Amino acid sequence: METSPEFTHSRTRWLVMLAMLPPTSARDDAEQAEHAAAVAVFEEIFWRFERRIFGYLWRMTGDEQAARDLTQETFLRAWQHVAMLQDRPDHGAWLFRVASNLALTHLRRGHAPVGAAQPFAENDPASSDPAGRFAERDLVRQTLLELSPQQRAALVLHEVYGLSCKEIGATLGISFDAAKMTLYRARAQFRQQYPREEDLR
Amino acid sequence: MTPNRCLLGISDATLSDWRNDLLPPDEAQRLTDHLPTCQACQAHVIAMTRIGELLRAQRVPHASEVVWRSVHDSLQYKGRNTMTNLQKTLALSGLGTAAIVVTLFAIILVAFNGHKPANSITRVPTVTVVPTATSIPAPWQTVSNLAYGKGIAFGHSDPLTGYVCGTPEGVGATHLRFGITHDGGHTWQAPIITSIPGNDCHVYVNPYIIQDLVIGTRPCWKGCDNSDTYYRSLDAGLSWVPQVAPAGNEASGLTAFGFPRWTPTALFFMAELPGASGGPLSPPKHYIAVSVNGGPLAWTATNPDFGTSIYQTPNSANILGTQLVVTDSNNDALSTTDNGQSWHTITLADNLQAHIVTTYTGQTLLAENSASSYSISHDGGQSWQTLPAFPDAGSPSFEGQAFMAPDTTIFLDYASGNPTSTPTGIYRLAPGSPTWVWSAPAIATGFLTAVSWDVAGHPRLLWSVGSTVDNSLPPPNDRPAIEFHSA
Repeated sequence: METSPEFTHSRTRWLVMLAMLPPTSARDDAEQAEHAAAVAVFEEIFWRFERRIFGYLWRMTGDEQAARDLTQETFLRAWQHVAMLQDRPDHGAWLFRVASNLALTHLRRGHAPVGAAQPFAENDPASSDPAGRFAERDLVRQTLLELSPQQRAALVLHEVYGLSCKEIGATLGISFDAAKMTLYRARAQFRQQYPREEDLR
Repeated sequence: MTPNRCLLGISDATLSDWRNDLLPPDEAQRLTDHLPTCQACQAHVIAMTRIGELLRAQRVPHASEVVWRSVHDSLQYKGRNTMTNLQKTLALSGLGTAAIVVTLFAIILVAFNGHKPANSITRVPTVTVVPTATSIPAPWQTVSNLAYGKGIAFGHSDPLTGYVCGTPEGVGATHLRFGITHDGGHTWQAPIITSIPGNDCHVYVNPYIIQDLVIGTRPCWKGCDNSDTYYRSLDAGLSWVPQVAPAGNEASGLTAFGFPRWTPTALFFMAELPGASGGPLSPPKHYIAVSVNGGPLAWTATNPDFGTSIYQTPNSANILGTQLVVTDSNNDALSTTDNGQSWHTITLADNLQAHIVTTYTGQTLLAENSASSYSISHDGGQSWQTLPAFPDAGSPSFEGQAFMAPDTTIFLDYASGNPTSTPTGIYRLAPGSPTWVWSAPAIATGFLTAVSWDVAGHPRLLWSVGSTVDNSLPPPNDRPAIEFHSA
């Protein structure tokens, strides 16, 4: 696994933080071992999936702060159910399901995705960014946020994180057919909404 | 110039399936061979590829450090019970103080609201479609003994009778529960545990015979291998008999299963059968089967012409009505009124997408068009009338299809919009009304799933099936939730 200096530094900090977790004086050895095992599992899960979960939630909400909060909540739930997670191999599926439900609940409670309502302006970065890279990313973000939350989730889960239609269905709590149709419509909607047609050729 | 459509009629949906590896190997190979010869298909595949590339190329902000800190800080008090007695005392004192403050604030708020002008309320949308409500809208309500509900349906011959199926938790409950109401949903009998294995389900009611029911099981997370199987009860749920699906039990992706109204004993089954992805590149397949014997299901094939007339995987099939209406990925719609022996094409208004809803009468059809407005037909699809546009047509985020009561009142679940212009919530379009009216708060825990009505056909209650907030966790922490709201 590739490890950057930043990652190593942060990982060290994280281990220090974990060491500060609840006092162990009252526990017997078995409890301590159990706690250590849980911490190890949680740590592994966190480091394996944090970037993916945050990236997914950022794409879902368009808002860095909201994505941070929802990522935190996702992993808090992972910690609360770490004993259950120890017994199942599909940590990614579990986390994406939790993150999806949190994101959809967040959006359904009236938190409009940031940037979703912003129209493409005449002086859009697309025309002022020579390299086009920033503009393209921004256009992608805005176009993505034009989709319904479920369409957005299906498209991102498939294209970015490689989930199959069956897995998308399980993640979003919809049928296989509905997942397939949602993904199809998401692509069609994205293609229709994306303002730079030349990028899609 | 790239042609817009494939000369062989291969739809975008089929290409999408191809890219998703959902086509049978032989058809996938034929499509692969076809691609180099078709500019239209190539353009679509390239667009799909580019969309994926664009999404993957997005630069995601770095937030790891902040997330770590916040998770850690939260874990220190949420993860374990480690507070000292002094800490607990202080915390309880703080909670008590906070509770008093909140209570006082609530009292003041209630008193303040009581003296507010009628049009000065909180949480009421400000757009023109908003009713002139004089009070804060009531929240969605729960029914205490429906905490197991996953599927809900109301009878057409007896609209006060309804049924619920489900389990309280995804794992641990090995068999479905089943409940009944006889007063339109105000009270529900204590659920019975059925002989049906599973933990997720749909329930369908024969529109003529209120005791005639079908339950279809759905995929579930764990501890359940009984997906996409079907059970019928002829005694209002007291006993259930497993049924044989048209292709054994190999069918997947149940789309619809129900009772057409022209005969009380026929049932339609619609699913994606193995190798039935259709398309001109593969032989016609039967997507829909009919049982007309009224007893244990013995499936008969639909008209073979159906396979060639509608060669794309159908998007939807709506069965309640004097006709079965099927729509496909090319925005075509076909209907049958003779148990699938013959089909005729319904002419749709411009830009209509494949989304048809039939109503109680069967002659009234509702179609969603590409601008997320709706058209209605009262003559079985021969002529169409455009309904008033939904206020946020530019950025539609509807959850699921529209629901229509027998009096043609329509409800839409609008899930995420711009709170300053088009608030989320349930919108209602009364017959003949020029505007959509915001009529219920957004559903935080589920989706609009059913509408029940009185004996005159006027809507009474909206029903949502979903999950509690705790159900942001998958099973075994799965907690279904059924809520209702006045229509």
